[in-house]
Amino acid sequence: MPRSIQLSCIREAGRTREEACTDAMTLFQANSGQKLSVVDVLGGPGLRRRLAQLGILPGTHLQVVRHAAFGGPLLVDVDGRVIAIGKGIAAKVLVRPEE
Amino acid sequence: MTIALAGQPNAGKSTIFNQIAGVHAITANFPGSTVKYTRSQVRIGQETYTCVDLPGTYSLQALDLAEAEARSFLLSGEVDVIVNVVDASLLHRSLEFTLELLELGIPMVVCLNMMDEAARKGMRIDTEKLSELLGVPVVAAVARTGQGIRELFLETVRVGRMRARPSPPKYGRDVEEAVEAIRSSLEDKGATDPLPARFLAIKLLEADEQIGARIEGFSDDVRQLIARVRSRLEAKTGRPAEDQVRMERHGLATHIFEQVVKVARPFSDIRHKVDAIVTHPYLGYLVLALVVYGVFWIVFRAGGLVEGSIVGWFERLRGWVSAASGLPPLISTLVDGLIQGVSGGLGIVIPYLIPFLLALSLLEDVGYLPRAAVLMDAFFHRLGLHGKAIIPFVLGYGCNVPAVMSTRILDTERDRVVAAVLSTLIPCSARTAIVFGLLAFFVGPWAAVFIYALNIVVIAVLGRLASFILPATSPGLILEIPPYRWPSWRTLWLKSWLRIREFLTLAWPLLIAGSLVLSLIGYLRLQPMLDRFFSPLTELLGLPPVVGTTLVFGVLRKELSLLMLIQALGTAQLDTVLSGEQMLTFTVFVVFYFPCVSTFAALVREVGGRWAWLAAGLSLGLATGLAVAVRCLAGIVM
Ligand SMILES: Nc1nc2c(ncn2[C@@H]2O[C@H](COP(=O)(O)OP(=O)(O)OP(=O)(O)O)[C@@H](O)[C@H]2O)c(=O)[nH]1
Ligand SMILES: [Mg+2]
Repeated sequence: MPRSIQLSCIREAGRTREEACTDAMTLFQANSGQKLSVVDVLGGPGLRRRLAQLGILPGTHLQVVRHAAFGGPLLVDVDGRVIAIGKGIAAKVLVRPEE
Repeated sequence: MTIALAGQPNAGKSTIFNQIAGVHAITANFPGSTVKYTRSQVRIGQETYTCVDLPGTYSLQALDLAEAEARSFLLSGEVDVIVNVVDASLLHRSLEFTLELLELGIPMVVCLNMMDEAARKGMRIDTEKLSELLGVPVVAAVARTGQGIRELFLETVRVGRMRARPSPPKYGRDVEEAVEAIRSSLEDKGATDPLPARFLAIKLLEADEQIGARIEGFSDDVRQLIARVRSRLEAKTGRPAEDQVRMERHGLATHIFEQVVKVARPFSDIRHKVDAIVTHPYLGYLVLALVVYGVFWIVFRAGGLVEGSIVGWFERLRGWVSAASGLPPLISTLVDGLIQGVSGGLGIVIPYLIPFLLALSLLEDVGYLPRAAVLMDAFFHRLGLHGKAIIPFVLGYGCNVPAVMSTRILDTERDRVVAAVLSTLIPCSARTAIVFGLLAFFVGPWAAVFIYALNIVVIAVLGRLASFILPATSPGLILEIPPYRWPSWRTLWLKSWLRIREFLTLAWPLLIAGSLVLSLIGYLRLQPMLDRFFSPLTELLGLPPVVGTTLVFGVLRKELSLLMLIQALGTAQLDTVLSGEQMLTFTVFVVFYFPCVSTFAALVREVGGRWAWLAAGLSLGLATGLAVAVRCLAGIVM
């Protein structure tokens, strides 16, 4: 791999963790169709890993496609891949609407 | 040389494997259709190679048993060259795993599969550029049609021969410093691990427990150094070290993706509109009901049509044989047994088995199962399971053995045990043949509906009970929903054929043999003795005494029970010898009692002997209790 693709840190310029969290909500509260970016994933390392594997980790973008009835899961679009996420887990993903 | 097919779930690994190996690994349109690796010898050019189809895994951090199997094979040192199968239409997401695989330092080729899907999405992928950026060959393919598969394997063999080790991706400065610090200290300590030290160092930063266990034997100062390096990195970046590594890998993937992909036109796909209905919060349930009704109707209609004519035809044949005078009684009894064995298989099992298996494979390949999982998730939660567990349950309608195996995709041991044990109660296609061939045909479709409904209620109650005894720990549903795919008729047929062939080559001969044995028992007048042995059960269930022996055959294969029933009662016109109530009782018992031997063996393998015996005992008790209850109720109602 050529060194040209060296990566700089993705840390958001000028925002600290606390600031980033002020306008955040949980994924469960987000409306369908809204473009969101992930602020943080609360919860144990197992859950964080499972979600990270599917591309849900701080800094990535996603969109809620649909909420299910009867307290069922949410459908979330992450880079073109649709993932169903139970509401308990969705309540542990902190997101922020994208400007 | 060993070639391993590795990639994220549902990327088409098994489809490629089937193309090259000519054997039939099961493929389906949901993540987790392969849960065990399959190995096969393949000929490429003049030589033979070993090719291994691995279960799909999202990353090298295995989070369930199927993923663990893939990971341990990739780390075993047995792999000479990796074919990383990537779903081109999901290139962005898939590249992270590709980057992770590059860190293993094993010669590798990337197969950009599903190029047809990518084209439909309007994606144009510059494969040359991708190959240049990744530093490994990239071959475009459409596994379903076989396009590009030959080139892929020629390239794979070439790369494998050259032993060309790919160079691993580079991270940002902070991470690189941390990796380097760990790597050099591992090397200073003379690490003898066959895996590259850089790979180990990165996994240690990512807090990988199993790699952590590998360096257990190292002195304390190495472990202290790792802890120090991690906390220094965390202080610099303000987030856990593993998050930092993953985020950078993700950023790197995005960076590559943006350089190689052009989206020609924003795509509008009618599949999204279809999905808006199929997974609609309320309409979705209507669709689900229609799908279930459709499968039921097709099986009932198609099967009934054939059963009626074939069975009548064979009955006439039997009439002629018994009328043919001059045959010694032994011969004529045996011929009669033979005809009944043949007619039972041809007339009663196959007509229902074929449409049923085809319909089930169709649902699997179109991609309906994950959608059903979404709809059912809320209800499965009440049973202490989540929607992913619908996959073993639906597969169970085909055959309980793959159902038990598929519990490997569940997250916790507790979920696996509960789902595996409960899924053996699902009426498999053999039991479906009984429900339709006996009950629906003679008593009416509503009797069959009753059996399925009763079955679901019983499973739900047991699931609920299980969640009191073994409290649920599973965090909730996380499941990828693949796009709808047009099924390939060839695959549908091949998949169903695998099961039908098993019936033809294993169960049918057994059936004919059993049929002959029963004739012989009748001829030697041993029947009364056997009947006395089973009389406690048959009397309890209110069935004719001869039915007792037939139930034993059901332990081998469930459909044998019905066919032996015909043999024991001496006619396929079962309504002349059994009342509707008796048929109902018999079916309830057969549907619930002991899983067949193959299922029992699968249970022992997957969840252990203790649970397998528990399941066997439970189902026997359940079957008896339910059959008696149904008998009493039917006596009142019918
Ligand atoms: N359109 C299209 N579909 C494909 C292609 N290759 C495979 N499929 C379909 O994709 C689905 C998944 O294929 P599998 O071969 O089961 O995928 P896998 O990678 O083995 O999946 P797991 O075992 O779950 O990891 C099946 O429905 C295939 O028919 C392709 O090139 N184009
Ligand atoms: Mg597979």
